[in-house]
Amino acid sequence: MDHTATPTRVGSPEVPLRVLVTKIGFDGHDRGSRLVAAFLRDAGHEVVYTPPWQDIPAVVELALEEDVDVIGVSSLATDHLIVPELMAALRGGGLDHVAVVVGGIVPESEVPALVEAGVRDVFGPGSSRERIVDAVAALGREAQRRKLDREGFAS
Amino acid sequence: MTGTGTGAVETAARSPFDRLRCGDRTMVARALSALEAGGAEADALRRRLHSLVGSARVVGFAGPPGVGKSTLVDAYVARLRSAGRTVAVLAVDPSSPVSGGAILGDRIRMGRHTGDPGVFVRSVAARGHLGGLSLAVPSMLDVLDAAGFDDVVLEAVGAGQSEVEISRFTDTTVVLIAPGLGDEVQASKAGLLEVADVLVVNRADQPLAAETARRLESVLELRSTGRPTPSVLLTTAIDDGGVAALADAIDATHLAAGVASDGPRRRATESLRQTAIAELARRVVDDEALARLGGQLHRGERTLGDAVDEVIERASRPRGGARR
Amino acid sequence: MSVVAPTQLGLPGFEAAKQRWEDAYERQLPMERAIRNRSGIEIKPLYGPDDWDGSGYVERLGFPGEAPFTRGIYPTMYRGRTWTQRQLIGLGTPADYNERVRSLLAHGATAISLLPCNSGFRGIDCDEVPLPLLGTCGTVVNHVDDMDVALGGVPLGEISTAMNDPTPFTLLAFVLGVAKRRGVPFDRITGTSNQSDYISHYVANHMFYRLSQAGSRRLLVDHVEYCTDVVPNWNPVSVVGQHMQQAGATPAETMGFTLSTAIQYAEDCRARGMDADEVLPRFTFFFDISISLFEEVAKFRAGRRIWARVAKERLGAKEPRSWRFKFHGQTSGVDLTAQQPLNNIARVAVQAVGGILGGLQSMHTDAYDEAITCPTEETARIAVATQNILREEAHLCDVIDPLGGSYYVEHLTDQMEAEILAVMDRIDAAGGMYEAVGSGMVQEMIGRSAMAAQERIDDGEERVVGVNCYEHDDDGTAPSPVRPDPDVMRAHVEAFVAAKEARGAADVDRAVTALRRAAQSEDENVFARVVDAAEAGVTHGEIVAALRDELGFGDPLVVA
Repeated sequence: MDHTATPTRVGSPEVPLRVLVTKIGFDGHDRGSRLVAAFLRDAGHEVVYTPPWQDIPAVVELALEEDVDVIGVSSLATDHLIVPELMAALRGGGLDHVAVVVGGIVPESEVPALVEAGVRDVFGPGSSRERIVDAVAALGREAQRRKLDREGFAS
Repeated sequence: MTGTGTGAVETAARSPFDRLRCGDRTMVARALSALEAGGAEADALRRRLHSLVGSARVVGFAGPPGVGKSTLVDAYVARLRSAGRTVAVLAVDPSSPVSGGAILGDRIRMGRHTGDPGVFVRSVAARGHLGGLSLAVPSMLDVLDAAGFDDVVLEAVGAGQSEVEISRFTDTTVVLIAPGLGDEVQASKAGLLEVADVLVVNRADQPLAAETARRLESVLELRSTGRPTPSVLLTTAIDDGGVAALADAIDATHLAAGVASDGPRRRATESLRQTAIAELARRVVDDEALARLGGQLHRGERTLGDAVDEVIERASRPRGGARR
Repeated sequence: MSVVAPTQLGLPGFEAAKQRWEDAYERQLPMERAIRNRSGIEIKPLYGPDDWDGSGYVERLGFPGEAPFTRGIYPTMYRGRTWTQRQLIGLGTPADYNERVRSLLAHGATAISLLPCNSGFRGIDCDEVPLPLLGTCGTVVNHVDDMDVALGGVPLGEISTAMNDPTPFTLLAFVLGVAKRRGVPFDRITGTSNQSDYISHYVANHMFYRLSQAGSRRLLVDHVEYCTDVVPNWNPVSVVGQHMQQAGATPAETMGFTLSTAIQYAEDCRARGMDADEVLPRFTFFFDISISLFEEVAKFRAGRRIWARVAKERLGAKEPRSWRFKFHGQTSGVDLTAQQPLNNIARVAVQAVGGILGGLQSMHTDAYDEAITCPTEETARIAVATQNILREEAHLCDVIDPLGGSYYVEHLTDQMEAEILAVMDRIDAAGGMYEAVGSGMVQEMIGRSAMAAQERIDDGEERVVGVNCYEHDDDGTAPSPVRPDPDVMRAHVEAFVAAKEARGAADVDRAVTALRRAAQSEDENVFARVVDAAEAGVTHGEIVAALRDELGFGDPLVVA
């Protein structure tokens, strides 16, 4: 019998995902980010929530300290244009296992540039709760597995 | 701590433990997650951590939601930073009892420390633990201690129970109370006055703040717990008001306790106690055997104590049918 | 609320006829689910004289131009003068803006507006902004020279200007600097400081805050005081319900929050010793117009009625012109969809009708691509044409308050009024809007309503064409965004940096020092020093930085 009783066995059978929901750049509309944070909480995930106006280095720092699996960037006023810069900064900070998704208003013609930069999904206006939650869960589990492949304390 | 400037070449050559001990943020974050997740990596960590801990001062902040804990912790951290001390913060928020998920919003009030290499903040979800703290918290404090931070601050939502838990394994327990008549009575009932080293009435600009503090003091005068009487302070965290006095009061409790801190041992004991309780709770499942014992109790065929002994005995049995 | 017993109506046979109809209705729709509007009010299938019988007409409705103004704030309403067509525009450099604004003026616009670059809302100048974001959502106006270019050829003093200009109101300061250069007296400058409502920025749209809540509070009163004395035809206060409704507040909550905010500002001005009749005539309001048409009409009618009473009885204004609830309406971007975007033209038209029937004073109609990008010239043209069609072709302006007397609309107006007053009572109980926002209470209410609205859409209770029904009728259009030319923006930044270096350092220092000293003082008018600083060539970013230093930074009052 395994006597190393662990916190995660109390309550949820799985390790919850950790998701950073944030806004970079200048936009301040937070209706979407609040709703998505609540959706993810209700799906059993742990959401680290920030105010708008985060700098790119701040997002990298938060993602690292909070050890998140997914970063959701909400952008309603062109802030997605600096997401490629964020992707580069995350890689520079050794966080390339983290899945990044963007939600909000991204014109169709600008989606390919985000995907090319490494963004895993883009949720446009009208995306259903189900679509967002399912995509984040799948990407998050994948990121968790990637993280476990890295050197840890087990050995 | 030595900060974050560990280059790739250097880190590749060093073991995860060395990197953790040097305050490498990636490894600190990883260790915290490993402890939250439990399992083999957590066990490996715990085996090694004991030799690295014991130098940090651990201060717990607790109080009801909306009383201004994050803001006060933010101001206290700024105070420690101005004194040149490095700080790690563990901020615990409740998990949803329905979904198990959580929104961890403590970062909202701590923005001014982002970008400061001398501050490390980690948000923690309570993950269903009744006391309002995650079971992994005592070990997570060990990690932050081992990583070389001068001060480790634990912030938790208080509901009576968590203050008591916190006080068992922190060096200093700060309890926040909202200004308002009657609150000091509540505090007294919940046993907070017994466990607090420092009592803080935040939002000192509110009309009832001074009166609340005065009443708390008079309640404290009437009791003799054998412990030093906690100081009662007024703060307005939003503009750092009263934070210098708070820092002094916390320093004073450390001085009074002396240099030899038994914090790490108390953290291990509390970790054991809480995990054992949780494990026992997990194993006591609502099954046929429980219903049968309940029936016997109902019919007067057994005493309550007798029935409880049997439940615990069954729960302790290996593969005792309690597994899902 | 006037729900009347049928026997009192003096309508022979009413009761029996109503019973027959109810029976028939129940037979055909036996298990009908209750329908509620966005404010949570249950909507019946039919309204009649038992719901509204016209009693209390003079006190509760009255005539247009007379308190309580339920039917309109002016005696002639749109027969005398239709609403002002005010499209918010802004993109790229000041020269880009000038080109757009001159074209609008050539096409008959009588008022202009200016939307500054989002970076300005954060209080920084263009030389600190990541280039990909510069000028994407508004025009870069960082100092008085920029404003001079932006308003080149625009007859200041003849054209009313509305600017999105939060505390410390640098854009107005730049306009006054330009006016001085051109010799236009300040009393001929007309327009509105949109986004002067700092409380709304702390509640909902968190992109505007620049100073601490307390610092903003002082600046706003300073601004009102300065304008009262020096720029008397300027509207210094625009109380913005729009942000809250966009963030998810129901229409009734929005009106309640907005009126409570206006009360807070009026009381702050009174505390400074200003007279209500001096201040309130230059208060204006700014609202979202959603597609819930009758609810919006009732919201505006109820809002007018409450404000007239509040201004008179609570705020002590004696002159009827102080009781008038003047508002600008913007069709709601929240109702627009990224799916099948051309459909938004129809949505905007319906929203605009709601605003017109609600009696607005000026209007912005959204371009159909507004849910996707900043509007192009073509989509903006259609938005303007929508207003023209409604004004010229639809005969909407022939009759004042044409829905007045509708059993439904009058009953709904009464119900909305009750809902709004309940919200205002909660705010009062929390110590007023300043406190209620500081404690996060308002943000929590909005968050709950936003979640409820989303659940109605997810459950299909609220139907959105192209989103949760008719999803497959894709119209194949995907508007492409307009982005400023990066080379042009880079050149603008370089010119800005050069201009900054070419300034007389002593003048700049003197102006900044005076600004700081005013902020440190208890009683000096800070906005007056902002105006001086702008004239001396101090930039927007420098002004905000100095004031943030002295008055504190506006930490967001975000509630997760």
